Amino acid sequence: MQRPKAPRALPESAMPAVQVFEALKDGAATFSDAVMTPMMAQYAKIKAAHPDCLLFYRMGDFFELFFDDAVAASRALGIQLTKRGKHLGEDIPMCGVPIVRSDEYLQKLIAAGFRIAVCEQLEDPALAKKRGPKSVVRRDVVRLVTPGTITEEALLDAACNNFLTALFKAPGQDAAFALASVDISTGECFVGESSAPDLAGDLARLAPKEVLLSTALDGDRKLRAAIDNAGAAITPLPDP
Amino acid sequence: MKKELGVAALDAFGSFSRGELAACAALLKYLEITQIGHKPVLRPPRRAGGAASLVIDAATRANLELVRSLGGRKQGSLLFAIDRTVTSAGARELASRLASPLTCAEAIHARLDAVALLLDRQMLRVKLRDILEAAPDIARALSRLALGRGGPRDLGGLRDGVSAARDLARLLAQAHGLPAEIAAIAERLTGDDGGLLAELTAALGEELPHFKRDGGFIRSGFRPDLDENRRLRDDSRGVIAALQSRYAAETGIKALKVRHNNVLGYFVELSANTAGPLLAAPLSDAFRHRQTLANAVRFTTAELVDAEARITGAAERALAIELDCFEALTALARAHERVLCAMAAALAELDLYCALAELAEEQNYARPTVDKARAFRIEAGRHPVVEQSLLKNRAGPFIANDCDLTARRLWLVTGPNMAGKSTFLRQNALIAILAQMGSFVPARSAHIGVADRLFSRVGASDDLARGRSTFMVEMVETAAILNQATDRSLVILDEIGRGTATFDGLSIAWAAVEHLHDVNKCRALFATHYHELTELAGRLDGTTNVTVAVKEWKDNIVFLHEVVQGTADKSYGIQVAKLAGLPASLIARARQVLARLEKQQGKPRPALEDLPLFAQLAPPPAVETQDRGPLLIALHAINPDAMTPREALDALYRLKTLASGEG
Repeated sequence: MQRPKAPRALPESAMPAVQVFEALKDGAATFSDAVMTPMMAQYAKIKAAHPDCLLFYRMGDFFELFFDDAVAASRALGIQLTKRGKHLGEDIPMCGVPIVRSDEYLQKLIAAGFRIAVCEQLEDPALAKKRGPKSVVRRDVVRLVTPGTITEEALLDAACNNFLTALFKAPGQDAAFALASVDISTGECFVGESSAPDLAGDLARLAPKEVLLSTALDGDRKLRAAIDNAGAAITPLPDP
Repeated sequence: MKKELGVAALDAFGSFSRGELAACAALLKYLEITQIGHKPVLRPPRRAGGAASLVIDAATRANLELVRSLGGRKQGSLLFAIDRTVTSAGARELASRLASPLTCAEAIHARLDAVALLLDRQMLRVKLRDILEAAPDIARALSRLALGRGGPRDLGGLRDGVSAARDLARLLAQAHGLPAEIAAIAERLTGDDGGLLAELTAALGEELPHFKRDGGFIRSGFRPDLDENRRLRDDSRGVIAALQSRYAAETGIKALKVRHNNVLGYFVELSANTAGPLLAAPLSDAFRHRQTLANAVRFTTAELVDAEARITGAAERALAIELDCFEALTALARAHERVLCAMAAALAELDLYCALAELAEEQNYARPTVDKARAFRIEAGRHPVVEQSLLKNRAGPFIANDCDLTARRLWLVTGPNMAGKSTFLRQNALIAILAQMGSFVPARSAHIGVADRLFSRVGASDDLARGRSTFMVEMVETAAILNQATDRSLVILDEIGRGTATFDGLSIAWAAVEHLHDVNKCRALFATHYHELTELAGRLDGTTNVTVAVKEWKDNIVFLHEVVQGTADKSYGIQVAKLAGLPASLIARARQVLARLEKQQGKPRPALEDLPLFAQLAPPPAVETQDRGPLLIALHAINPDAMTPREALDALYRLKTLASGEG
């Protein structure tokens, strides 16, 4: 079975965008119009909330990607890397995919191990214009696309379920694992328990595309190998 | 979670452990994070795994190529070979059942009854499959609509899906004597959709666009206000055409055109050399100049601006009404999602049963007898994948073979490479899986007492990515089998111990057979090159020897692919090597070496590969030491002449420990 690739390590670029965004989130940095256009400021704020995803930023008929996201996506998709404006005196790397073909690009990126945050325009651009020359169209992330949560025909194998599985080890019970699985493209849900020796077989039976793993299990190498072997991507469980 | 699933109490689905509830909660939380404001369709959770299904470990699934070949492709897998479904949902159901065969004989029988009926009533099956073939994927269409990613074609999918369900239900209602599984399907196909089908049929047109924003998917006559706005929009387009001819007449310029773009809206366009009259009074009063291009001049008029506003307004209002209808229809579908999900599941199952019946007819499969006995009796069994591939390549018929592990539950299978040992082993495992998933099987007859676990250790592959050698992988998998197989399990072992030095391998294989026979007491097929092992059949009463027959003809061998009682007289390694195309000179030299080795040994040894160059240094065969206990074996293995004093002392301590262990 083909190993799913881990999200690519982003290359060191001239633009340490991730650090900039982190600093923004902590309040250690602020944007001024001299540094960033209002649009880039909006982009940076949204990106900071989704550091582990590629941000598909809607601009008219395109989803645009900037900074390290653009570098990574252009490489994975084999599309032109270009630039748009400047940040801290350097060109901002950019690439874009047309909305009408976005499914196809999403599929490639998911297959390459990326997660994608889809950021849409939430109002008519004409409304933003009315607010003043410097106002930006309201945008926000409407959906995260991950291997276990896709529903588009183009992204799915019609003859295969697409399970997202949460794996949980009950405290106190030494060998018992609990599994809950859902295929949101069909609504099917399965729940069950497994033992340490049978877990790899149960994962192979379900063949999930994505497994949610609590931090307690995250360090278990044997478990990670079993998940990997079943062909699933591993996602750390969100904090309760 | 109760709220998410829209039920009063989860207990309705059986009780769940705290761990299971925590896992469900984690799933729902993650769906909230990723779907942001959209609630996916969720069916009531079902129990999976555990004692209700045949436990098959990951290595066995991969080795038996159930859903993927070892090369990772669908082609060459069991799933690919048996899939005769005509819908995606049916294909998913088949994959899911193949992955989780049952252990409850009654449930398996219920499934087999359904297949038997559809095999028997060929006309009914043909009619059902005709309808199924055109039935869309209800589950996936509904899911997209629920998550706000649906389009008019998904609504069309629901309409055609529900309509197909009704047609299928009508056909089934005319049939008599339906078994329980099919009756349950028929019931779900007739579930009350609360008028959804009627509403969708009345609302949706025939040609549906991909995106809702394209509009034009609501049938005329469904909403009077929509028709009104569409008429306004279309009438105004007529007005534009009328204006163009009027302007042409008024100005006397025949080449005058009314065009449209997003910046100017509707405008009059003239070529640069004919535009003169419109730029001067009196015409310039009515025709306001807007734009001059290299070879065109553009004007607007009050009438065009007015028509523009009416057309855009009407088109926008028409689209808004269509989107409103879309949301209303989606909401109606969501309000009946329980019924729709049940219908989708019923369609999938019906397709699956029809497909298994089709397969049974086409490939001449037999209904297996499945019960709680410890029987495993296959008469004229075939390998489902190899059989079809032989047929496809016109490579002759598949030679069927019997297998009976009922009385003598452990078969030792010997025979040369290439003779078909592995095929024989695998086909019996696959037949067991097919039977327990509720399919007919490739055999003249089959009686299978349900297995609780299926293990197979076939072929050898390095797992270099994790730093494990072939031998290590083999031992890890063998350990799992010996630790977990019960007296209800079915075990397929192919050439255990091959990956290490001859006598180590032989000893491990020997001990493994004893363990399977005495401790696990499972039904097992054990293929081996170690002909010494065949002696075990005389010692262990639950064991028997079989071999895959070959004929020798002028130094060549002919494979008969027939499994017969007895042991192989030799390995035919050189003959197989010759078949593989090793150089003639090499083959001749190998024959010389073999002759000499056999002579030195005093008697021809049964197994060719037991003759490596260090054979003379080897200790007496493990066979003889087997009964003497670990102390004697260990003592026997010591060669004082080859030891340092330190090693000798260590050995002495080891023997003392062994001795105290025995006492």
